Amino acid sequence: MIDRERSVVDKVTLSGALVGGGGLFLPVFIVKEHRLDAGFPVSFAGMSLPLFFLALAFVVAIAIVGVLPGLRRRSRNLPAVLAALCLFALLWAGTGIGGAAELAEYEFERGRVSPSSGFWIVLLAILIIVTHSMKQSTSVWLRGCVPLAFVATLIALFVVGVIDDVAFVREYYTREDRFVRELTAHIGIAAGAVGAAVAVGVPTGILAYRIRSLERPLFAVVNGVQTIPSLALFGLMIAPLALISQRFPILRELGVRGVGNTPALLALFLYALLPIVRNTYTSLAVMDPAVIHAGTGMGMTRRQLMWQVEVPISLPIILAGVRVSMVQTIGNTTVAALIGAGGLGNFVFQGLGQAAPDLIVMGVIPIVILALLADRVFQLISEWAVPGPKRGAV
Amino acid sequence: MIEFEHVSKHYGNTVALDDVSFTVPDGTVSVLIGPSGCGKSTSLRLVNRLLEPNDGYVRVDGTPVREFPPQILRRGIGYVIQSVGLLPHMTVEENIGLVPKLLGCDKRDRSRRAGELLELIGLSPDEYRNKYPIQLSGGEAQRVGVARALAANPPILLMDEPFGAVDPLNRETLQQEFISIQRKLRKTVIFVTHDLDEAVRVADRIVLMRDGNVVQTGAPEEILGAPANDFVREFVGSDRALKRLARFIVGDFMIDAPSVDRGAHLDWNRYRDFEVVYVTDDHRHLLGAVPRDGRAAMSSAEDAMDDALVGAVSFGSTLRDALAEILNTELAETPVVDEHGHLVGRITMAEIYSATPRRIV
Repeated sequence: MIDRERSVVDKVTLSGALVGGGGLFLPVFIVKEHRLDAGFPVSFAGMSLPLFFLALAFVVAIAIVGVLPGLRRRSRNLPAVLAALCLFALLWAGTGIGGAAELAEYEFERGRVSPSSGFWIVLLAILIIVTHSMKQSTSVWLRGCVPLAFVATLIALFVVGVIDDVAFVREYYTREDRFVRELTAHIGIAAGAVGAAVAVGVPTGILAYRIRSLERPLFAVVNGVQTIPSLALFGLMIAPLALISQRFPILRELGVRGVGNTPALLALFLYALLPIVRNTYTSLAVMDPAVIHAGTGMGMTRRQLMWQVEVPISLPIILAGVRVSMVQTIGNTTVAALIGAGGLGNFVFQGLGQAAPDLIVMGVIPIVILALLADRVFQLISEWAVPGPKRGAV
Repeated sequence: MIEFEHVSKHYGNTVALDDVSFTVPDGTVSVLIGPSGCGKSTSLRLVNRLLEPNDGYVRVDGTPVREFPPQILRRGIGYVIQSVGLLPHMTVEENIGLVPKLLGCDKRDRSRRAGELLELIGLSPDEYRNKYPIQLSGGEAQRVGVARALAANPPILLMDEPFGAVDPLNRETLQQEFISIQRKLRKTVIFVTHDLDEAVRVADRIVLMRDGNVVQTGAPEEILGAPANDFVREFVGSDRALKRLARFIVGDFMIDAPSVDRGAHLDWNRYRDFEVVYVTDDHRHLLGAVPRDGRAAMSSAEDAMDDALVGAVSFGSTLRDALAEILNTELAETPVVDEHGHLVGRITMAEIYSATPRRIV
């Protein structure tokens, strides 16, 4: 008999490597004289042969990891991820450095390089390989740290200045002050909405559980909000809030208006409620009543029951709800820019308006990074807060 | 000592307990049994004040329980429930140490105590200490539940259908373990069950209840041997005489068994009064039996004996087991051995009869 665990070829990793290998032969970036220039494409091989072969070597390494017989499924993960991380760094650094060289050669002083098809395809291949490896992995450490390693690599390249000539970094430098302001606003709006949703959603979930007659109407409301498209909900906020702000000048002075941060916060807060209310309710509903009975019977006071039994058992489930809520809100905050709220969405819509994809990308990349970071941070908190046998230990 | 003194409890118009009085002497197991809704669980929860009576007193060592704050009272009373209720976010050790922690014991003492108790309930401390409840089987979880109830060394133990959710095979093992633990610790125990066999096995006294009233109290053999009325007779079942046999230990009833050494010649003239002669080795290990009508002409006892005829009972088992063994073999009796397999006696139908009151209605 052949040991299936060992002999199986990892098809996903292999196809990831094939996609990446193909991408290396396509134009990796476009050299432009200015923002609106059509530019001309440059491939990896055209930029620098040694770099091309190095990148190819990483792809081949990943493919070998995928097909190597006699390798346990689990032991494929780390080498595959490491090779993918190297390819990722090489892709960005190559685009940055190679792009700068091309610009210097053509004496485009205000020129820039935009990532092209090859770049995105290799990035997709990296995504395939890494998400696959993480799904296979049982190590909390690996699953928690890998996305952070990629983010850190990108930020390090940015800080060192290697990718200064990449188009959206250019867009960033021309708007540095505003970027920081919008980033802060984005985080502030999202965190504020989720914070309020936690403050309201957790008690609401408890209420829905304790008072059975409230369960249906409460869930009808929070579920109903989720069915409204986000853009429509932002729009719906404008009229009533404008009316209220006209009626009550005091509120207007506090910043309550039909457009701006207030309606955005309100809409995002409503969206963020559902996962939190639902998970709080579920955490109580699935709690074994015998546990409370036993705790009481052993002489725990009401307070001890709450802090030593109910909270520790329900916390991981509530935290999972907050995590979903946070990631979802970071994304939704982008749309809030449409009704005059701050946030990175402003760059995205500005880019759309000016037909400047570089500007859109500049807005989107930090949003993705933020969502990734929030997801990982909450995941690690949850795993740390869940007592019991760790995954894979059983 | 736990006393119920004219205790009544009702929910609205439903009477759960109606003027109930009984006493649980120190160091004994009283089993509350009866059909569902008879008030047995309600009675149990009055002791640790999970419920309060509408009338009457529940006393522990003479003091009414209502004079203790509930939490203080409960920490001094071990409590085991059918659904166990181990806290899923704590290890076995932390679960066992829960009440000692509430009482302010430090971590080292709690850990040492958990080790002792795991040892007592027959789970290896090194293996189980750091497991989580989800990693335990039903029987193991219930054992840990018992250990948790014993952790603060309470004089009183309340057990609410403790083995009800465990499969029959495991249940009997758990009952045996409980009996041997109780022999060592001598707790004052109220044990609620609806399983009569379980009650007969573990009880010193049975309190039989129906519709919130006590119908009959007494030792299991009394209740089985002399049911007070038709309800009790029906409740204990037509096989009550059989169940009663489970209260008697073989060692208390066995008589001498005739035996010959395996090398010796079997002379039936010397065993004129016996239907069966047992064959042993030099160390009195039971090897087999020779029935009177067997191959008597053979040269030695070993050649004449039939080892297939012998299934012995141990002297610590019950007369019920002995009767079952007698019915299993072709002989009208069964030999009795000690824990090393040495022949120590035999049980015949006459001994079974002698344990049965012959004049009961």
